[in-house]
Amino acid sequence: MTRTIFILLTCCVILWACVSQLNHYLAPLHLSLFVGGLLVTFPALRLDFRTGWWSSLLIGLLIDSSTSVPFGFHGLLFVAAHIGVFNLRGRFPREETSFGIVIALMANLVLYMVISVALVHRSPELFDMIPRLLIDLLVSEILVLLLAGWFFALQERSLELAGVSLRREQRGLGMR
Amino acid sequence: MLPKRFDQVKPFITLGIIVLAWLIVPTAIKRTMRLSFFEFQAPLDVAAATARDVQDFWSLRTRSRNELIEVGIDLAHLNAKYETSIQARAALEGEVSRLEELLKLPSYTEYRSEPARVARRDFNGWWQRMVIRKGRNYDIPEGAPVIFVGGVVGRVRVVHAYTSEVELISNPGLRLAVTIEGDTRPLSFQGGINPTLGPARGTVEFVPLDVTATPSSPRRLITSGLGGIFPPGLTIGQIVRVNPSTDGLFKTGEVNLDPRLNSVSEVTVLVPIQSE
Repeated sequence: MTRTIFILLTCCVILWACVSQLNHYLAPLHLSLFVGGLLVTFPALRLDFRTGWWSSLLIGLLIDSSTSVPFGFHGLLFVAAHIGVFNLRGRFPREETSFGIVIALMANLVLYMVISVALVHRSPELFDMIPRLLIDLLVSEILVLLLAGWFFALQERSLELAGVSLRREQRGLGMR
Repeated sequence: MLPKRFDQVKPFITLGIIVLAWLIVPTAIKRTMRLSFFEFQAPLDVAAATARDVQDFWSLRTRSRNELIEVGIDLAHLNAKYETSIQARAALEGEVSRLEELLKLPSYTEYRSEPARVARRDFNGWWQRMVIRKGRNYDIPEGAPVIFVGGVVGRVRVVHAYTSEVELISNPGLRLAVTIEGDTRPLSFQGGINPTLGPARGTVEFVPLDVTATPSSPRRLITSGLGGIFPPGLTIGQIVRVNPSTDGLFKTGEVNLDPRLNSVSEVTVLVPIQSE
């Protein structure tokens, strides 16, 4: 389990670092990208429950450490998103990439809305803030749509290279 | 074997246990974890910033010698101007000290200027912050004011080993005691309106009824010196519009912040000098 979490965490850190750099360059335009939904989708769809929530919690805490929210905010939100997706995954073709992309988009949308609602009280002018949040959300969803396929493949191939069998987990035999 | 219904509920019970466990974890442990997680990912920001510097260096290397000579001449002119300003400032400081002694006034807090490069800008609709490449290794204190060529940038929120986090004046949660240039009455500034593709804006409250401002004749908003963090007289922005507030006792105003704040790459931290 530890090796799987470490690999997933590494993949997530790579994506998060790239998005942070993109945000750095987009800052003068007052545009910002959020890909939280993409970070939790693969573990929730393809891995066992415990490994998935641990990796979601850790990447959430990593994001928390460098943001202006109480520590644990993203961590607990990501675990909640993981549990929500995990609970529904049995009813859908969870190994299909296209289904994964749809789930990533939906998870990203829900997380973005929840964070916005939780932090909206900080703004002095709520109605002035809404267009900005909507534009950021739209751009973020486009980015998730573009990156999701590649990011799932990156996580899957990284696990395979490290000798972690996803097929065993899919058959309910546990991870190795 | 557990009933099927319990299996479906189990993940949510786990979530409840995690949330409860998180709530009872002592704050000290959370703080230590936060710092550890930050230091774990801090090298990524610093490495990316260093890579940008190297990129800039090599792009400058492609410039011709003639261009460099022209820039050198411009810099020499600027240096000459600054030399004169430094002399004038020294004379003014002497005059201020003499008057302070004569009138027995308390001295202003003195600051040491610590220039720092911006490692990462993180400006979104929820918060506005940046990471700078100086931290405890340069004795940066928490709460220190951060300025740039256009005025106030914000204040240092957290200091790490080699980096610091700066909360910008455009951050929705940040409030400052300010005043209008040429006026001594204190006002309250709050940042937080950051429209896409436009400059950051803020709001100012408790504006006296006799104050007017329009886009054609804006009023300069400066720090008041109250609160003890920011020295007085630093530029915050320009009040471009004032409207009566709902209670009719004051006005509220709209403040345009310096557009260069969006792309700032070099800032100065004002470190208070501790008097013995």
